[in-house]
Amino acid sequence: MMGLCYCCNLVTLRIFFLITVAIMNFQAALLVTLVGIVASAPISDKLDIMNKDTIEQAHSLINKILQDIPTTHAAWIKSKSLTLGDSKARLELEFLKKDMYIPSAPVLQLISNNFSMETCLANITKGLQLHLNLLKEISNATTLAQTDQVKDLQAEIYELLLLIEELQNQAGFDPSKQASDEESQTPEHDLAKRLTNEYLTQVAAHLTLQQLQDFSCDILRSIHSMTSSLAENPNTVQLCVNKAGL
Amino acid sequence: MASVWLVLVLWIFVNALIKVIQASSCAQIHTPASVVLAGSPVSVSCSIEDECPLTKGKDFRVAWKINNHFAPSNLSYQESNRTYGLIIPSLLDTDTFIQCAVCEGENCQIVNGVQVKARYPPPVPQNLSCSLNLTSKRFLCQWDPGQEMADLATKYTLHIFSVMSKKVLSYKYVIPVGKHFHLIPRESYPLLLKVEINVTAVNVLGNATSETLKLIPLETAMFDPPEINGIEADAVGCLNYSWSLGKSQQWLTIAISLELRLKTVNNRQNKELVVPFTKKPRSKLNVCDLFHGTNYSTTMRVKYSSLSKWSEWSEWSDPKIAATVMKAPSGSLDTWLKVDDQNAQLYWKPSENFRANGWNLFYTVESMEPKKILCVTQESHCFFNLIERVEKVYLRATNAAASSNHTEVPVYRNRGLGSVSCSSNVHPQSETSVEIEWGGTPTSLSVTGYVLEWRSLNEMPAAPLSFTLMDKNISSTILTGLRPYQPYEVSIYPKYDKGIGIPCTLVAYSIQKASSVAPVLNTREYSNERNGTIRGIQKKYIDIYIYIYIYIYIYIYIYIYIYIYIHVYIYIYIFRFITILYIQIYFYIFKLIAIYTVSATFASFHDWNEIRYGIEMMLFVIPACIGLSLLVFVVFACFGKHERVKMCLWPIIPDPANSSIKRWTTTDSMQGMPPFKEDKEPVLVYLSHFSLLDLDEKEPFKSDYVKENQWSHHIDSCDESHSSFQTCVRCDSELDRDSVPYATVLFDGPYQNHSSCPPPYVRSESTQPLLGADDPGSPPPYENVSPRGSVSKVQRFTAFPQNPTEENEELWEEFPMLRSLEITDTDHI
Repeated sequence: MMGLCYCCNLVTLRIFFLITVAIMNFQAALLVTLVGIVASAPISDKLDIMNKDTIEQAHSLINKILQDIPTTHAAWIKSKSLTLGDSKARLELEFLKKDMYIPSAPVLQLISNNFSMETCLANITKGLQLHLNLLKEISNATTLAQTDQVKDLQAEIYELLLLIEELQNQAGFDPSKQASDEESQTPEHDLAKRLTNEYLTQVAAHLTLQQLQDFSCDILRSIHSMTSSLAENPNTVQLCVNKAGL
Repeated sequence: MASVWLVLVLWIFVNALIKVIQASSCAQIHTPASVVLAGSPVSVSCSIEDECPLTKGKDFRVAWKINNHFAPSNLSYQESNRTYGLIIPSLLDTDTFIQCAVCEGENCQIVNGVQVKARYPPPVPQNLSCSLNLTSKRFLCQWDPGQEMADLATKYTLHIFSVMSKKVLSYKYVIPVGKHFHLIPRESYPLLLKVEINVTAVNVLGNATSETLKLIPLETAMFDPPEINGIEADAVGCLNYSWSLGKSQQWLTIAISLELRLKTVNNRQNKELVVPFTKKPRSKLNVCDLFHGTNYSTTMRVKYSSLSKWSEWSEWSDPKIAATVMKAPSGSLDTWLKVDDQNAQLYWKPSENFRANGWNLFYTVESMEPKKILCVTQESHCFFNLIERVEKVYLRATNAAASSNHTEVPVYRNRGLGSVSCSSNVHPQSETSVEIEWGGTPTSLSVTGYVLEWRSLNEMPAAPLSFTLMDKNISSTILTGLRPYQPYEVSIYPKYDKGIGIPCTLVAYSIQKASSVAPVLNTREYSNERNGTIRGIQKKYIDIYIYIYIYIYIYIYIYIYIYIYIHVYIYIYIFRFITILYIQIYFYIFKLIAIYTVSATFASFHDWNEIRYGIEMMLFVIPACIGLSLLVFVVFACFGKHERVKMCLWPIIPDPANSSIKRWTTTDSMQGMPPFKEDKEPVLVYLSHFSLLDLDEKEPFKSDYVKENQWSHHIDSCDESHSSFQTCVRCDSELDRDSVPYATVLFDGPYQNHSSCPPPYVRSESTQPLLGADDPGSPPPYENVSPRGSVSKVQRFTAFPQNPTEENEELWEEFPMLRSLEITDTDHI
């Protein structure tokens, strides 16, 4: 009996140890990524062309979006089981996300030779448009009450979209071409049909806001990589880390 | 089917009615628009009906009247056979009445008319402004409509549009009539992008668009006050601020305008400093060129941009206090050294360029040869001893950080050099300043300057000396900071290169000042009834006071009543008495209330007061007396001996009715009589009156024979324990006949004999038939008692002579029946 207990204790200790190591690795990886973004962001020639004020405005807006996502979530989604940044719930809802055909956000990477500024901006536009559409569709679902916060968030996303498109224009990229590409790539999803009851609508709203938060953090990092050469503002990265609940 | 009929009938009726109306009208008048743009031409046509009785078979013409004046003929024309027209080239009047008249010769009859209004397009909306509330996210635009026309509805349309990345966003809002503002919903405006907003006013005559606003919505918002998170004094004379925006603006990363306002705290140099910045949030702000070692209170405010005319400053933030780094005091000190043999008095004060640069300032006076510290003080003066060879002393200021440079003070021992000509004049300048003038000095000595020193003569302890150093060219100065009309001793010392001259001393006063504090007027109001106040109470309050009095009195009465009522049950014997008393009390109350009511209604104010005082007195005194006596009574009733009280209140009168007159005894009826003590003098009970009646003859015997004192008493037979009185009337056998004689016995006695508790009523009367003697025995022996002093008084009430013994015996003989009377006094009281 004593031996069994001892064994149990050992197993528990090992599990704790593994978890600790995993968390530390994760934090280290995150730190490396962030430092990488800050330190090794390649300054594109295009940055000189882009209006710094526009970049700063985009920076402010993505800050505001990140600030408003939790309040929107709190106001819109009443289910207590759906909380932002809950990684366990995120795994559990993986199936429903696929089942409801909620498309994933485009991937944003460090601006490098493989991932150009043009692609980055195009992906940001695409992702913002995607989430704007998702929010619109979920808002139109009658099973979930509309809130002012969602409208505010949509307005902010739309404004950011305009700013990013403005940046694309300034840099000489063709947003219309990107848009047409994105339209051809993104299949027409009819999410509304699948929002058959309030719970599913709430899940869809939760998943959308969760994904928007993650994507916004990526946008913040991308914008930060652009602004880092202009002005240091480490607080915003910290903000994203906090908001993402990492 | 019925409904079809009904419709048909109605149609016929309506048709007929229309025809009647048309028939009654002689002309049709028509104008294209009843409201026209002011100044535009107006055309009116008038068609005369064929059936018009005014025209039938008559030669007529059509005339036009504009606002009751005939229109010039050149404006009118004939369109067709019976249709006439009028053209007004420019209509300016706001309301114009145009009438069509049919004239036959000079006689014109108006047949129809029309009103045409001349109006203007709406005025241009003025002062369009928009403001964003960051907390509620309401973007409100409002404007002044200008002079609107009441009878012409004006509609407003608000446009908001922006162009961004080749996209045009445009929203249009139609504003309900009468509203001159609009809340733009969040989805229609961005926060950071430039938008253009204008308002268009529309009425039937045209439209007008306001000036277009070009603004960024965020710039119209008033920010929350920012917060100073920390202040560092990192460099000398600098402060470094870290700050953040208010919570609802923390997302902002663009550069904004801000202002820091710095104020010195507890410092003589109370200066305010406003430093503008345009910085990104969370960046550091550095303010330099500040005083060293000084506390600064800092607040800050922000706005979107100082270039924008729409931006408004936020409120100031909460102040934060921080001190700059200290440094050694800088600058020089003005000194004034007075030496008298070995005693030196050194005064100093900071010169204009002196800076303390820190706190805990103290001064050190020292001499170099020999090296000695003469004094260390925080004051601005110091007294010390100086030895002969010291020619200079040195003064330095020290703060918590370091010491300043030395200020050199030369010691002049030469005194009594040429004086200032003391033709000094003092001219009071104001309440706190005087002008001092002084004359020149002897020309043989070269003056290097003057020292003006002064001190108040009126302060205890002696006021510290103040001084000013002055240039040699100056011959007058103004002393300021004086107290009004206080004596100041002012001395002017000339300074020469070799020493100090003789001073000129005078006393100066500044101008008097009016007392700054008004005297407090203590007033006390005395009773002045004629002026409408009574003991300081105004008339309007008197009624209230009276009501309160009455309420209190009634309350007291009720209380007493309840108290007594309870006791009535306990002391049931006195119930009737209390009732009577209460009837009397209530009678008083009602009488007083009645007096009050009547007097308050009819009496004049002055008279009323007198009555009121009377009432007051009665209200107090009478119930108090009644209450007091009641109380005494109740106490007496409670604690006194019942028997005695009862005897005092309701004494038992010996009742002859209860006894036979033949053999009359008071034994039974005297039960309630209080037993008298043995030590009392034996009291006689007197039978005062005795009469006999014969009912048959209906004629009373004149038989007022018997009188007190005439009956002797058997003192011997006094029983100690039992008091009784027996009277035996023995009838003579001769008079014993059929008729029943009646006898009246009056029983009386003097009060004086009963000193302790005399029966108050000792008279009793009884008339009853005399019965025959049951036991005619020999009468008990009796003897006449000679009348005493006390008794003699009672005798006055009787009709009998003073010495009636013999008479009585005669009477006895005359009335033999009385002889049979046998009075047996077995006992007496």
